[in-house]
Amino acid sequence: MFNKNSVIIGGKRVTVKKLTLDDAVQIALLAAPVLPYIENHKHEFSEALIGQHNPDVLSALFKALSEEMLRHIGVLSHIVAIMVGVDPQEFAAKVTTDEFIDMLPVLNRVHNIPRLYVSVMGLLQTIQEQQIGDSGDA
Amino acid sequence: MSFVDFIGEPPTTTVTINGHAIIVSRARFGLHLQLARLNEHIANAVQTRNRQMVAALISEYLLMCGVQPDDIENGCGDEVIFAWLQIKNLNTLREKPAILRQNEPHTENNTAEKPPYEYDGRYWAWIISTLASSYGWSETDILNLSPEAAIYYLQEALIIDYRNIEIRRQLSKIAYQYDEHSKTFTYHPLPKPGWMSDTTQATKKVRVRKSLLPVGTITKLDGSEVEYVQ
Repeated sequence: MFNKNSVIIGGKRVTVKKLTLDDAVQIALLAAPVLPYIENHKHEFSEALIGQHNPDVLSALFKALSEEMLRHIGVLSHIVAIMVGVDPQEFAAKVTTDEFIDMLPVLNRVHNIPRLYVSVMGLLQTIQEQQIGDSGDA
Repeated sequence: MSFVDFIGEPPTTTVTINGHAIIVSRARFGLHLQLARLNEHIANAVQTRNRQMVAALISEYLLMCGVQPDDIENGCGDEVIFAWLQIKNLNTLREKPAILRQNEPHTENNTAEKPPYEYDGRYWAWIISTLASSYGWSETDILNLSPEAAIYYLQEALIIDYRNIEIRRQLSKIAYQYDEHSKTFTYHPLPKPGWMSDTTQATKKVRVRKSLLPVGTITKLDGSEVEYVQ
């Protein structure tokens, strides 16, 4: 029996690690430039994270992947590598597209993705709040 | 909200880190100032992409709010950031009194060269000193007020000052100018500071169509979760 909190990278099973505060901050800083892309495809991402096998949704996701993800693949792969808890360079070199898609529901089960999303957005929002001079924010 | 809501026992929020439910009280004025300063540092660290600094400052913020170091160390990263956001949300001013709609109202011109007696955080020192001299309160008393109550008391002190000056001015010749046409003296009231005549309305909340929201579980800052389905 394998650990259900594990994913396959390059044919090998790896157990997903817990996110540290440092990891979560690193994800937020990495995510900043790709947030508009994630926002544009949040339907596809959220359905992929739930692991729904709706062919229309998956084809929309793949379409989105093929069109835009190539530009952001480095950053997204880096973020997913941190979420798994492996070296990002090694991850990018070994992971296949199928493995990448299959690991999303596992990551959603191990981590609390909606909470991580809110945390990332909230942390990045602090810059905007400072820029508009919201002095009431403590 | 009414002013009455800002006096008395501070509201609390419950954050969950590492499986522990921690009750955190809303910061009083003194802690509010320190936390606001810390948030500025966090925003700067995010902007300069200083990861270690962001993590250290978030930990410091939570420690100042009474969260135990073990919980911060052993909690999930996103859980810790989420707890920080929840407490930050709790500590955000519920209302923005008119005087805060202007930046640093005690300075005549913010773009002018700063005088030699200027220092970092002088605005807050000015608020405390104005409250102390107006009401005879100690620094401890003032720092223990709720943030909104402190600002509203300051606003009241400045309104009383304005009215006193206005009354004295009405007794003086300076307030009356002779009009050649009507051959009478016309009263010219004391000009009001910007914040007293500012009628800017608060920004309206924009409702987002359900079809534009992502599907799945949405975590809200009050800790609740909402399930959105298409």
